[in-house]
Amino acid sequence: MIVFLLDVGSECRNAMVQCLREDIKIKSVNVFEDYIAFIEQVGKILPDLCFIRLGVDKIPGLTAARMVKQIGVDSRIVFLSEDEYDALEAYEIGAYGYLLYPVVKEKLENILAKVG
Amino acid sequence: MIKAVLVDDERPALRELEYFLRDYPVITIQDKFTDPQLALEKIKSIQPQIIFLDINMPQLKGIDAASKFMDLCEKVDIVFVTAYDSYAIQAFELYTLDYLLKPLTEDRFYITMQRIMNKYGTIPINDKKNLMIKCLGKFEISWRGEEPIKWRTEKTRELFAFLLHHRNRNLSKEELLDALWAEDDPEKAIRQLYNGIYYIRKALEEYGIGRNLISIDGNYNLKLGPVDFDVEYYNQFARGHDNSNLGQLEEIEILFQGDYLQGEYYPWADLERERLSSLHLRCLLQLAKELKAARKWDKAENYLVKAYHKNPYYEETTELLLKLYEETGNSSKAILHYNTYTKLIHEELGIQPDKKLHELVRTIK
Repeated sequence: MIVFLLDVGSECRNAMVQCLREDIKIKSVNVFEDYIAFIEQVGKILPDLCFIRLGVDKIPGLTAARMVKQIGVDSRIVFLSEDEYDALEAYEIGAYGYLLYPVVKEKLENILAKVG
Repeated sequence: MIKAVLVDDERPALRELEYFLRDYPVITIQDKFTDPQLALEKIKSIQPQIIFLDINMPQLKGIDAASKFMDLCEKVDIVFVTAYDSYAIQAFELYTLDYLLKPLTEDRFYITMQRIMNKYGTIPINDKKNLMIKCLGKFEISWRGEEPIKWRTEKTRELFAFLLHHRNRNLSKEELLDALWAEDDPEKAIRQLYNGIYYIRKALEEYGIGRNLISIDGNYNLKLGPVDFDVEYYNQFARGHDNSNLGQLEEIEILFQGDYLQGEYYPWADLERERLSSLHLRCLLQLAKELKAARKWDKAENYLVKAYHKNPYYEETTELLLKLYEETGNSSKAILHYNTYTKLIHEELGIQPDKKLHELVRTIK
């Protein structure tokens, strides 16, 4: 499984990356901070799962997710956020999951098990 | 058909759901319940594919009911329909298909239904209609008989036209930037490109065009599904497919409502514009020949006159017109046309008509 993560640097992100890298189903974890570079690579590499950060100024997370959907790839989208504020819009976009930061390892594993 | 069950403790809410589902005949409502406990008892025998489920019900909370429904029907999808937004995160943890807020709106409900239909592989509603892509004349994309799609900006329109022009071909980012944003700052240009692609996909989706009809992949390769595309009819004509069929030729000819992407200043379209214009001329001449063979003189003459007005310098048109006048015994028209043609090519090109035309007119006289 190929996983993309679009998020700014933080301890939460580091913990996420570590969890993802520990999962044997995951072949590679690519981390992006620029959403344009992220979108470009989504179209080329076709990841199975995209984690997209919401609620930070540098990343227009909902727009990035819409762009992933518009590209037409089958990548599942899981939002990462510190609050529930965008959960309804996440549904409208067709997100697969919505995890609250800091991510509970068990919830992340559930998602990975479902996708994998 | 997709089997659905509706569960809401309020009857008006059930009626509203039924009303919204009426537009989607692919969904059959197997049963509806105001009591979630009763629904749980019956659900195993119904085995629906979708359950539209309220959350705030006095007998049993929808979130708890959803887990139970999923245990009883392994493959069922749940769509929550609720007045509360505070359960969305919990709903995500149950992997429910969607979460709709009351009061329902048609636009939002449509998104849910598209998701359901995509999942179950049923035909989206608009696919039953013909999607028309018109490049010969004014550039327009529309469902037959409906208003055409509206693009966010002129540049979005040009980007789509460019992808369509290069359909079935992988394009590099650099090719696109060179063709459409050569004058712009590279950083700005690349963002405009990504935003342009985003707005194109958004416009197509909002207009109800599925990816089975128009898709653009990560290599900017635009692919068309079963659409009515005027240029493709001319390409078929160019391949010589059934070019003696009069009815078909007439249908192709009528598609030429103007030059390729007429009125748009797209330098990259110039060669294609010339190619299609030349194909149209060939189509007119072919039609005239077929009509002449069928002894439909008036119609044949009309097409030849049209061909002459399109490109008066093309010798074959004049030759066919003169032969037609010869066969119909219309010598005055033949001489008049020949003199006009001679004058034109002398004044504009400084040349005389070919000897065979001269001989032809002499025999008509």
